[in-house]
Amino acid sequence: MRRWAPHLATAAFVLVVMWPLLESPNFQSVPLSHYPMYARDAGRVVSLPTVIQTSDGEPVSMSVLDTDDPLVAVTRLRRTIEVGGATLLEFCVGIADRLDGAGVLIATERHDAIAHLEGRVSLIDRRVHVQCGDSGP
Amino acid sequence: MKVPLLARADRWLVAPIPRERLTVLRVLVAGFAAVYVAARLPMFWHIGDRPASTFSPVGVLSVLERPPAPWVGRLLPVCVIVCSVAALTGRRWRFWGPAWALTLLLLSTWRSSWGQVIHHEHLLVLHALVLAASPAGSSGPAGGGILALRARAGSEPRWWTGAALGHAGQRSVDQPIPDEPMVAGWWVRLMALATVATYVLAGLAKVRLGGSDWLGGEILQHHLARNVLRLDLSGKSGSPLADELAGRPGLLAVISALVVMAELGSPLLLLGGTVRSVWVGLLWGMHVGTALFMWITFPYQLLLFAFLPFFAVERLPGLRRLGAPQPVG
Repeated sequence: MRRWAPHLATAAFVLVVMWPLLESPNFQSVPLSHYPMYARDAGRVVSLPTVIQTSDGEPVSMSVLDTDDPLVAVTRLRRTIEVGGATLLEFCVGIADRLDGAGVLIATERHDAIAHLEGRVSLIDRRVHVQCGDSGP
Repeated sequence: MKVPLLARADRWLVAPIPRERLTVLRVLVAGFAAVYVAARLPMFWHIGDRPASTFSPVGVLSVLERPPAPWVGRLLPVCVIVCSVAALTGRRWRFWGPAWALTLLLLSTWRSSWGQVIHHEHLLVLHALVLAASPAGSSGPAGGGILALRARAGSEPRWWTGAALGHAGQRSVDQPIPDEPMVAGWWVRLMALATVATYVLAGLAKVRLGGSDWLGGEILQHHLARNVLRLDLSGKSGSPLADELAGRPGLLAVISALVVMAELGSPLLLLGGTVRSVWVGLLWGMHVGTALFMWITFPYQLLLFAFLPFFAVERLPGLRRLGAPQPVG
């Protein structure tokens, strides 16, 4: 037993950290995960939430979302859009306030990502969820 | 009669290592955690200000139905910085080691509980958890680690303890310096296995979710294009290098195959020597590529901390001083 003890303890450790293999390949948690990021084909048509300043039609910098990570910004926007209602409006007004009350709209846009990369027009359609600031509530 | 393979596995797994190696690993990993959290303090500070409806708890926080008060989230990164600095010194390791690892686990789980799991922090947390249980503290009774409590002075050497393992002159491994204090090497092996496991899991996820399509390069091309688009729609420009790469399907296929090969082949890191160094280069190259082409950084991996357990770090230039004996805490 003494001889096998370190091997058994090691096997137990490896089993724990490899546990996600027994879960769905999409499993992600902390500190264990299957690390599914970039594993699945996202496709060339991409649906992305975005915040747009109505005065110039340009996307708003993610710094107003308290992050420098675009992945975090997109996820946070998507979650807020899913919740919708007063939470989404409050979120929109919060961004507009940071932009000195400028008009802001939160939308989900579908783009052809490859076309965008090649410098061609990529926007397929846009669904506006809320508008606030100068031109909204 | 012992099977040679098992004998080799025995030697690899439980052979003592110089105490300095654990000390250097403790200083580097705890130091990384302190700097990493301090540099992102404003971001961590505001996490709890997000709408409660966007709270999506994972891991040990899954039991929560709603987020705790924002001040709890503000206190957490401060605790991690304090505990990391305390862990870095190695004093009162049986308290500060676990305190450091557990606060780090909580902070990482907290950050990932708002809809986006931050994967590059996982390995740092796993390494901290292993180190916290190991005899990585300052020399003396308080440096023995929580599991070393069972080792008594003069007792028979145990494979998991830092006590009673004698000196290098008695137990030769990795050509140590004579009379160098030795501790259980098992903990460093666990850290190495944690690194390997994360890469193997990531590689298997690509096989399970992307299948053979991943090797064709198209999936990588889509991720590159998607990333540039995401950056542009967030008011930040994507990498110009991504434009160049995305237009070369042949090169993308080669890179995709290399990525999967590097991840699934990561157990080769355990062989040591040239094979290990080549594989570290491959995996590091993958992270450099991700940073250059997608502007997504994995700091713990990119700065090579993830690969420290595969090397005799106490012998690296400038690091030997870190492992020098410290006053007992």
